[in-house]
Amino acid sequence: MKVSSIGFLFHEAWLNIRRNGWMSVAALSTITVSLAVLGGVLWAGLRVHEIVAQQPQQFNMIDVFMKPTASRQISLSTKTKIESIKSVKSVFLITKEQAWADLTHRDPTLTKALPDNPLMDRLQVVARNGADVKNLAHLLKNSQLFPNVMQVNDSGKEVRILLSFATLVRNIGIFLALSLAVATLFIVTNTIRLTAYARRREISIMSLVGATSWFIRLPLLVEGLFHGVVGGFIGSLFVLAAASEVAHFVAQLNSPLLMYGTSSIISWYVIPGLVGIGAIMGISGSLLAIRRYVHA
Amino acid sequence: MKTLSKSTLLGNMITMRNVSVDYPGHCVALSDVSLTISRGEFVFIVGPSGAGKSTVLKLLTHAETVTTGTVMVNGLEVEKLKPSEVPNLRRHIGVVFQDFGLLPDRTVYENVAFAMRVLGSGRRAVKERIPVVLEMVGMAHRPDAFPNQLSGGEQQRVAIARALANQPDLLLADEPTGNLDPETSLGIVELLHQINEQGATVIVATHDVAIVDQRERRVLAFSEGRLVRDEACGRYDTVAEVSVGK
Ligand SMILES: Nc1ncnc2c1ncn2[C@@H]1O[C@H](COP(=O)(O)OP(=O)(O)OP(=O)(O)O)[C@@H](O)[C@H]1O
Ligand SMILES: [Mg+2]
Repeated sequence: MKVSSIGFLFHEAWLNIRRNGWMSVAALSTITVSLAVLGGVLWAGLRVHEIVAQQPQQFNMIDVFMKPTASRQISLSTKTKIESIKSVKSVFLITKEQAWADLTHRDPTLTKALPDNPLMDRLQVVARNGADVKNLAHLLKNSQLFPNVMQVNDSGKEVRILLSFATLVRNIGIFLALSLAVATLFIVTNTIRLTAYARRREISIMSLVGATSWFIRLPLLVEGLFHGVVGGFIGSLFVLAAASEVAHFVAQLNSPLLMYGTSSIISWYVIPGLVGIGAIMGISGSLLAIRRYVHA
Repeated sequence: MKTLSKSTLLGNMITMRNVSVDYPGHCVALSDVSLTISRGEFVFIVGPSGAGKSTVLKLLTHAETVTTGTVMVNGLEVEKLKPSEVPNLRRHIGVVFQDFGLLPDRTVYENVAFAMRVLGSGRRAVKERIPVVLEMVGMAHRPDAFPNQLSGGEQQRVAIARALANQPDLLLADEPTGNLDPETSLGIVELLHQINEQGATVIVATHDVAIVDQRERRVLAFSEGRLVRDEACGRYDTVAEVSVGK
């Protein structure tokens, strides 16, 4: 096809978009929002998956919380007692004063609001082998052996919660992504249907003078492509903005789940990603509308 | 009935053989019509409303298809064309309608340019061709006017310019003067006549008695789907006599 014809096709597509006026604006906004949510959902899914994949390094840790009534002496003797277990590699004591200082640093308003330190001493137990963690946690929970232990959190539990959260995110994500993809397709199809109607005179003249059916359809395809690509681009900017907000917030949480490894997701990839998905949606939507509403 | 020789087919712009068209709902629009039109001819198709005039023209552009029979146009066997080959047939045919069919939100220039651009003509070719066709139809002074700023006769001239833009071998006009006053009508027919003199085959379907009688060109008269008269230098009103005589 000649360069001048490509120019003509784009010009015609732009005429259609302008002629549809507010309808075009509405379609573009809806497509933008759909693609942004789609992108956000996909990103969140990937990120949670990534965090889960990074967790096995932490499988060998157990947090043992002492009773608030337990003295430092008892904490230390419990530490020694745990250290003597064969499957234990090391034990660290995090005193309630250290924990308090840490919390004061992280959340000064909270600590100011509290009358005094409600925290307890914590023993961070590192197992020699991740496989021993479950038995070890079971042993530490034995109140006859360790009467001053209030609670035992093995990392398996956190990981289990994370895993079920990841599954939830994935299922919701798949559902949302599919519904939004269908919605986007529907909006594009409907917009192109309106264009085909607004363009019926042009289409009949094109057909009358002997334009090929592809030449008749291309302005409509270009219009669908425009909505998909522009919607995808603006949507990806929304996703980038939202992602940096979320990253900021999550960093503040200081979750131990996020301590290991950084994300390998390259954030600006979301731009070509959503533009690509948008382009596919735009072209498919146009093709559906053309098949149903353009007979030339 | 022997098939015509190749040279005869090429000499003819249009050949219809035993053409019948049944529209769904038991309406016979054309029955057993055979005719030939040579290259360079000027032909009127006349007849009362519903006689099948428009149907004949539609068959030539593959806008309608025969039920039985064959139609050859410009060396192509129309009903054997694949959908992808129909554009190639239409590229050699210009069509003009009673209601002009101009795009209301485009200027005279853009309307004519549109017909060229959709066939792949470049901007430069369009720029060279449009003044020529607008001059030919006498509209060179209004390239920037919109259709609603023009009289009916002027709009029809623009429509003719559009039909001529791609240099067709065959020009079909279906009631081109149907919406125009008698004087303007004569001007349009004079224009079609000039186009014919420059080489294009021109076919005009009409029930406008005045323009047919004034020109005295070949007349094909239809009645109830049949070709009832084919006269070299015909007039319109003899149609009535034939119909009454039947
Ligand atoms: N699409 C269609 N479906 C069914 N019947 C049709 C269709 N188009 C035309 N007809 C019928 O075919 C017959 C011939 O129609 P045609 O349009 O060729 O007549 P015409 O001679 O052009 O008439 P007019 O002078 O009113 O334009 C008419 O009886 C008409 O009702
Ligand atoms: Mg008619």
